[in-house]
Parts: sequence; structure tokens; C-alpha cells
Amino acid sequence: MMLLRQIAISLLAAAAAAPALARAAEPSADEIVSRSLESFYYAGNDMRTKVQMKLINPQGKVREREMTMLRINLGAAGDQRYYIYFHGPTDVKGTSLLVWKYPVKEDDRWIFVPTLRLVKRIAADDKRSSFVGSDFTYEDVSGRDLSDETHALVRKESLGGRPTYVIESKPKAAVDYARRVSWIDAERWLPLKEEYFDVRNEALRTFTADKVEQTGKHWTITARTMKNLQSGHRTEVVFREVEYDVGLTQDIFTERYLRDAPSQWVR
Amino acid sequence: MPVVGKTISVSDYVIRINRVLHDDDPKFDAVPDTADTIAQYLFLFSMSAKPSDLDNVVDYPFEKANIWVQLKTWDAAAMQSVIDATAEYRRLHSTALDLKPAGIAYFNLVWNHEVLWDMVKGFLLALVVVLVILALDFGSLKWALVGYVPLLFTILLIYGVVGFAGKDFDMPISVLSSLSLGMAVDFSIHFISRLRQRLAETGADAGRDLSALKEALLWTAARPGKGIMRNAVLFAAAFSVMLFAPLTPYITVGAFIVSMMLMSALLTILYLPALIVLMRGWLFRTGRPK
Repeated sequence: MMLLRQIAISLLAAAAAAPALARAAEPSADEIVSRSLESFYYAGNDMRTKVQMKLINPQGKVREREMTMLRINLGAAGDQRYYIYFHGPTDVKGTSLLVWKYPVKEDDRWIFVPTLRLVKRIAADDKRSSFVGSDFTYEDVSGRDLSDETHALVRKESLGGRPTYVIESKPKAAVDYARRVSWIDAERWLPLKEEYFDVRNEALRTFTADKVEQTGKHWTITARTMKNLQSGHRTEVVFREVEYDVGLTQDIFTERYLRDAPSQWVR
Repeated sequence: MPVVGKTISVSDYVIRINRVLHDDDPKFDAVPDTADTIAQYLFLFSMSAKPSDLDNVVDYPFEKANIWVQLKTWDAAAMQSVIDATAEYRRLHSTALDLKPAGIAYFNLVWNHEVLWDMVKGFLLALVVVLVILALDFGSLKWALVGYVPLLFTILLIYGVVGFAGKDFDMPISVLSSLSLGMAVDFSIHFISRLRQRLAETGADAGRDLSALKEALLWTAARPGKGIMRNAVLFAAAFSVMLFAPLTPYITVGAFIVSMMLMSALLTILYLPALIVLMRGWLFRTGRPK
């Protein structure tokens, strides 16, 4: 009798404790992805960084781009503005790009062509199109919306010595990929690796965070690679001089500064 | 050059971008003056929807450009004139220019140079060899020449029609040409050897006795000749199926073999006896076996 009671109590306790433990240890997939988007794309109120981009074709030939990227967050809705100034290649120096990102609709994008002193609005009908000819899409640079995909927590595992949540996400509307698997750092919330698959479940692209550094209270991926597994083309990106909350103002992200780079921030 | 239909190069892209950036004003259908402007245009293009389009006209580090030259025609002479013009340009300007011809016009050019003449030479050689073998087989050059006539006429007529219809001496025809020799000569060998066998059997003096010769000819035309006609009609009927093929080379092969079969059979049965009768004096006086 005694034994039976003990067993019953311990079973009861275990049953009561199990869900609570699980909740504490494992946030929902949506919570993980939401925190990841927050850390990856929305860190700070604003950000300034130098970006070095190498586009490498399958034959190993390289095109380089050197730019300054400024970002500002606007309000709780998730609107953001990006200002990108190209320092190189030297013959395109001064070319700059302005992106007004809205989570719920297509971006507004403008480009400045310095020799013509011309600001041109560019077609932005697809967030999945290539960002400045790289293997990153605009969405990879500025983030997708949590509700664009359904997310499921697959497992927890260690990746390169870091604890990660492995999340499988499937886009709700038809896009170029059918499935995405992300390894999200369980403490810093940055994606350390992402694999994209097409409808035939063949690997399309792989994202890897090659270097993660701390700037103030924010963790930043300072070296990353996106590899297109079908074309063999890849893009390597390095962030330098990363700064958060430097005090960027909204007026910088307008046509006026597109024509005339804000020298305080673009050096 | 009039034979060139279209060229595509990076300058076409630059011109197009220039015009588009100037609100589609036709005044700007030109390559801009400064290298920086061109660089910025191409940079702009590389941010557009399909930057890989540029890969067809420039290499990845923008060091080499590619000019596509498309010809209006498959004619080998057109290809030759482009190759010559490029060689001339290279002689006058010391640029690292490389021409890579490809496609049907180039294929035809190589075909003409390398293959066609060999085919024609082989064909002529085969004609001579067939005559020699006939002479050895019949033991008589005269009979060989007479037996050669259906072959020669068939070949001449068919190639005459081919030329008259304006059809090129292309691959199927040249491949068939050597093949056709054997087929066309087949019937006349058959006919002549059976005729001479018959004459020997009946012991007729064909040189003097015209009626005996006629009798032997009629027998040959009626007996082995029936087989020859059946053979020809059967082959022609079988190959005529190819006339309904969707591919032109098949139709060519079909038409070629059908006409070859029927003509060489008709020439053997009708023309050969007439020739033998007409030339009987010359044929039977000498060179007759035994």
C-alpha cells in the first residue's frame, strides 16, 4: 500500500511538473523566431556599420563591394529605413541606395546614380530579389515578418559549441523556397545557420554565421556567408565598425541625403 | 556586313540603360562618354532583377567582353566572310580578339571544307573502281561499259534533279551517293550475267542472229527481269514510307532511294536491252567468252 501511494504521488508530481519544466526550457517556435528577428534585424534603435561584400562566382572570380549601411527603426509596427552608400568599386563610388521597409507591404527603394546626379525609384515588387547582385535577398538583409511563415521547433542541438533551437519554417505564400531550417542560438537569439530547400526538397541556399561578436549589449554577426548551392555562387559579408544607438535621425533616410551623403555617418 | 542579322554586346545593355534612365528619350540611344558612367550603369543593372543576363556579354571581373554575332543565313559562305573580316580586323588592330564560330553556318562551312570534298573524291573513286570490277567480272571492258550505263544515267538524272531543284549537296545526299552506286549497278550486273549465261546455254550466235539475241533478251527481261522489278518495287515501296517523315533528311533519304531503285530497274530492263541490240556488232565481235 505504502509503495503504491509513493508511486502514485511521484507520478502525479511528475505529471504536474513536466509541462511546467517543458515551458521553462522550451519557448514556442514563434517565440524563438520572434526573438531571433528582434536580435538579428532590430537590435538597438539605430545601427551604423561598414560592410564589405565579396561576390564569388563558381570559378572563384570575385566582385567586391564596400559600403556603409545605416539603419533606423521606426515605431512598434516594425517599419525600418536603410541607407546604403557604396564606397567601392571606385568607379561606382557615391552610388547610394535607400530602402523604406514595411513589414506588411512591399518596400520603397530608390537609387542615386552619381554621374547623372539622378535619383531613380527602382522596382521593388519582390522582397525575394537579389540584394545588389549578391546571394542575399532584400529580405535576408532587412528581415522577413514572423507571420510570413509557419514555424515549428524540431529539436535542440549544439552547433559549433553553441546551444541552438532548430526551427523549421514554411512560407505561407508561394516563394522561391518551400522550407527553411534555422539553427537559432538559444542565448543570443541570432541565427547561426539556415538552410533553404525547394519544393523537391533539394537544398537551395545555405546561410552561415561565421563570426559573432558583442557590441555593447548587442550580439552581432560580423561575418556571414550565403551560398547558392544550385549555381555555386556565394557571397561573403563582413561587418566592421559596428555601432548601435549612435543617434541617427529620420531625415537622413530621405532623397536629399541620398543625393548628398551625410558625411557625419558615411566616411 | 549584310549577312549579319544581329549583334549583342554589353554596349547594347549600356545604351538601353542610358535611354531608360533618361525617361526613354531616343536622344540617349548612345554609349555615355565616361567610363564611370558606364560602370555605374552596369552596377545599377547588377542590382536589377536578372543580373546574370550580363554574364553572357562580360566576364565576372569585367575584364573581357563578348560580342554575339548572329547570321541571317546558314550559308557557309556567309560564315567564311565573317571569319575573314575578323581576321582582317585582327591584322589591323592588335587586340586580344578571339572568334569562336558555332552553329549551322559554321557546321556547313566545316562540312564543305573537310567532309564534302572527301565525299566527292570518294564518290568519283568508287565510280572508277566499280567500272574496273565490272570489267574484271565480265572479263570484258565493253560489257562493263554497257552495264555501267544504267548506273551512270541514274546517278546523272538524280543529281541533275537535285541540282535543278536547288537542293544543296548536303549530308544525307552525300552519304547516300556512295551507297547508291552499289544499288544502281546491282540490277545491270544481274541482267547482263543472266543474259550472257542464256546465250551460252542456247549457243545462239548473238553477233549475227538478231532474233536469237531478241529471244534471249526477252527471256532475261521476263524471268530474271521480273525478279529485278519486284525487288525494285518492293524496296521503293518500303522506303517511300520515309517520304512522310517529319524530318527533312528522312524525306531526302526516302525520295533518293525510291527514285534510285525505280530508275535503275527501268533503265536496266528497258534501256539496257536496247543498247545491247544497237551495239550488238561491237559487243559480240570480240570479247565474247569461249
